Amino acid sequence: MNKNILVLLMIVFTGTVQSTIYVDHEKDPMPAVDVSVILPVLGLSKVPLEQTYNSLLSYMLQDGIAGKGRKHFNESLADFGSKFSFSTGVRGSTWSISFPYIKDMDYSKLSSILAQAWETPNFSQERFDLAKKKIKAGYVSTLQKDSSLVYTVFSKWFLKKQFSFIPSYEEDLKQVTLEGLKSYFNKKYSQVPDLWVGVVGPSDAKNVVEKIISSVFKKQGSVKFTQHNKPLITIDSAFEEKASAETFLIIDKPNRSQTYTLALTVNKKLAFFGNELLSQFSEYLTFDGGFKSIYMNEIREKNGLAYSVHSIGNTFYGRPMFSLMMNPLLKDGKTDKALAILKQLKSEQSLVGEKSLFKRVSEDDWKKFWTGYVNSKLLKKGTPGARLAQRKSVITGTNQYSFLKQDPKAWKMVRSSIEQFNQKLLKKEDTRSLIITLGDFSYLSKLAAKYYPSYKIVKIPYNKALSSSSY
Amino acid sequence: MNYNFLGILLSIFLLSSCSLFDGDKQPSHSAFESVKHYEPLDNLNIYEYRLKKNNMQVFLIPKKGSSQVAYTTAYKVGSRDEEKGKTGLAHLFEHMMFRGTEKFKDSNILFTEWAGTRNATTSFDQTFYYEVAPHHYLDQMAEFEADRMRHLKIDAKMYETEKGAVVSERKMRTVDSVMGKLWWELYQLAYDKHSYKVTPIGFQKDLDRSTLEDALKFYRSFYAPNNAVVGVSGDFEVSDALSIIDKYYGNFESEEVKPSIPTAEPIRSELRRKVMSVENAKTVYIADARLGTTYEDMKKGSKPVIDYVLCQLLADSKTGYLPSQLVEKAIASSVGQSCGPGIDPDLAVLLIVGSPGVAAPDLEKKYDLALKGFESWVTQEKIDRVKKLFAYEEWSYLRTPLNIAQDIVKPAGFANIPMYWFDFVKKSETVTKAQVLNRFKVWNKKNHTRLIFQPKAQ
Repeated sequence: MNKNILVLLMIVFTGTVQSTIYVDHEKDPMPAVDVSVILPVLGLSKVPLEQTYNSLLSYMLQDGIAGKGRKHFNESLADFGSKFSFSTGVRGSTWSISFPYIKDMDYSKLSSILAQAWETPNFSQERFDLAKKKIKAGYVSTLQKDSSLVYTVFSKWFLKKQFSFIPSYEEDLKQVTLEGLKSYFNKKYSQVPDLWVGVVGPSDAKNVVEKIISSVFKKQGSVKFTQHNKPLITIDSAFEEKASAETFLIIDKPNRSQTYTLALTVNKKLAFFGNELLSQFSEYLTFDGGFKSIYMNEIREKNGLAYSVHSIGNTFYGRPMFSLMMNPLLKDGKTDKALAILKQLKSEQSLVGEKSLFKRVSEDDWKKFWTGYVNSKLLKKGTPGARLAQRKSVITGTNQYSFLKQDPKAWKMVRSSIEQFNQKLLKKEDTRSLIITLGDFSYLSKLAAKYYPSYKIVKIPYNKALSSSSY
Repeated sequence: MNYNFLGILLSIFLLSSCSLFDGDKQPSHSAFESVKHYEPLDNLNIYEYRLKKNNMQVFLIPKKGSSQVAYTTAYKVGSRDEEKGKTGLAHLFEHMMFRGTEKFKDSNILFTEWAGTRNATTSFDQTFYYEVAPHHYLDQMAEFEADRMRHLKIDAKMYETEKGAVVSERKMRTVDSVMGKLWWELYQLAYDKHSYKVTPIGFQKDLDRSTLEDALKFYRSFYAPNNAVVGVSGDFEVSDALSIIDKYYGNFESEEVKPSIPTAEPIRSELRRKVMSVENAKTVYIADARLGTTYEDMKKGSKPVIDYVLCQLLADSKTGYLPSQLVEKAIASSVGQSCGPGIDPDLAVLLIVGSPGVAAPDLEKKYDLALKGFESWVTQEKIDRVKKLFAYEEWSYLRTPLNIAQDIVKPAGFANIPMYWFDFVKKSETVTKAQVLNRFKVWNKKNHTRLIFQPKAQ
């Protein structure tokens, strides 16, 4: 019982559209079905307003069917215990539905409601205006959190007006129109060249899911299932070249008790793919391997400087990245000490041989880190959500999923490769580095000059950082 | 709509009523008393045991094919049990439990190798530890958890270092976070006497002056096998798990654990309302709270279930009443709720977050006005939708070993109601419109607590 059967299938639409479907069967006491459809729309588009239209769609495609409205839609779905969502992002838009699966239940009404909401969405002026307000409200709410503010400033600084963490810039929100939105939806979402469908659920729910997908996306043509598996979206570097190579940004917010600090280095020349194993295992050694991982161990475990020490990711639009987020207290010189440790560790990380950062990890511990890294991948097979996310990451180009082909005893080979990879990753001439902190400028600028003399120090007033306009 | 759907959905949970005990199916072990076998759903077997030597309660929930094991331990201690002047200690001590034991001097490397989720939470009523790892680590997980139950090895330097991390956590969650600050202030305002007045993060001054001795005293007072519930879920054989647990916990003696009896909160009749200008808040927040329900209420009837249904009717983001009146009219950006029970009456809270630019008096007026229309809005059909969504959520939640273990172990630790969530779904079937409206009338009495955060003038 409960043997998971992995089936990779492909849907071929008639006409020009091709789609893949991934079905992960499970025999569970409570057979629920999760369906994710990824539509490869947007990417790093530089077309003005496209990002804003996508953000608006993430609200408005949940507003139901034209003439029937949001209440009718939500209540109809609730009658099936079902939840629907639509989200957009740089790696495609995701149409999702989940529901309890009951054998012999008639799901045709659910299918019909979803199809109508996709074919004739409730694009009214009233819903359009409300969606704009919701975007603004979401932005304001997010930026109340200092950690989100720091992340948003990074996003604006590195990406400028490309799709990013910011749902829409203020000036763009003023320009969009309902007619423009309708036109954008019809143009972009009716003609997607590929479509990926991921399903986790019991095997006998497969027919129901196929019928729903065929019904909702019937504009694209009839549906046929075959095996296939390939990335849908390829995203290359997203740098704003005019920014300087090394920048220390300080969001000036006096009277803070602690500073959120985000440090990033992105390599502009190395590709993430081909190096994903080294990049991921480096991250496991430095941050992801728990309290024993190198940065966490030094900053939190040994010195108690910050509660939160983590990486925000190891890849930036196809390029490998070093990242660290921490929240040291400003009092008692704790931020000072944390920045000193950061500088020291990062400097060691770029060295090979005896002075390398990774020499801090003993041979015994190294084996355990490696085993842990292997375990972390294997564990993802144990839960439906993780299995779906894992497969989704293949399609959205964030993970090549090649890991499991690696030899679990390869740790000996990996050690020297890790040192060399990190040396390349942090090579000054090939990278852009950014540190963002939040707190009193006069104090933090002194620390910046002390530890990072080559960095250009930039002050951002707090209110400017909060603004939803572009810089 | 298809009315049979609810019946089918709920009937799956109803199995629990007819399969609570089947002694023949429960594997036995000489060190354990076999307490009960539950089979609330097809293919979901929950075996309850007690270690004869020390009365430790154990739940084993095999889930074959998952390739992983979730190992969970609930200690029946939380901030509710803290003494005055020692607030934050339960949570700070939870951090110390990761600092190593006599056998596992460097416990962090264990977590690194296991690689799965591992963490702990401290609430008013309980401290809960959990780890997930590939199933072949079960023996080591049990060995480690048993060792830190009785043989934690910590010193003053470790304590001071960890305190630094906890102070940083407090700043992050309670001082700099609008929501964290709101929660802290709400409990401060709502309670006068009961220890729920102070949320588990505690007062800064109490953390500053706490010592290693305080922590060790806390450990000796509450961390004992007879004050813990262990739950294991995942890919293992029940007989193997019993042997493993016996091997590591079987020699522990039970200890005398004095039950805490916090001062009861006096019933008051007046509204308590406070408006605060908060630096980080960019919009208005209204937290509207009433004294909610207890786990004992669940043993006696359906009060927590009715509260939940009422809260969902009011606040569910897709089908709830207040979102339709406030969010869909751009007056609020979100409506939320927190309506769970406690060992003692916890707060049932509705949270309204205003849209940018909407002033506090305007938001409060429109919220109050909206509440007046609730009774005429409620129908039995709407109540049935809430039940279906809840049944599905529970259904979906129980798909991972960790979630299964949590759903059993936590309520077992709170009030010895391991089947709490299954009973909850079952009882939800009978909730009527009259019950919901009666409860709403009680909610509408004046004796609630209302805290309003508004942006600080620049």
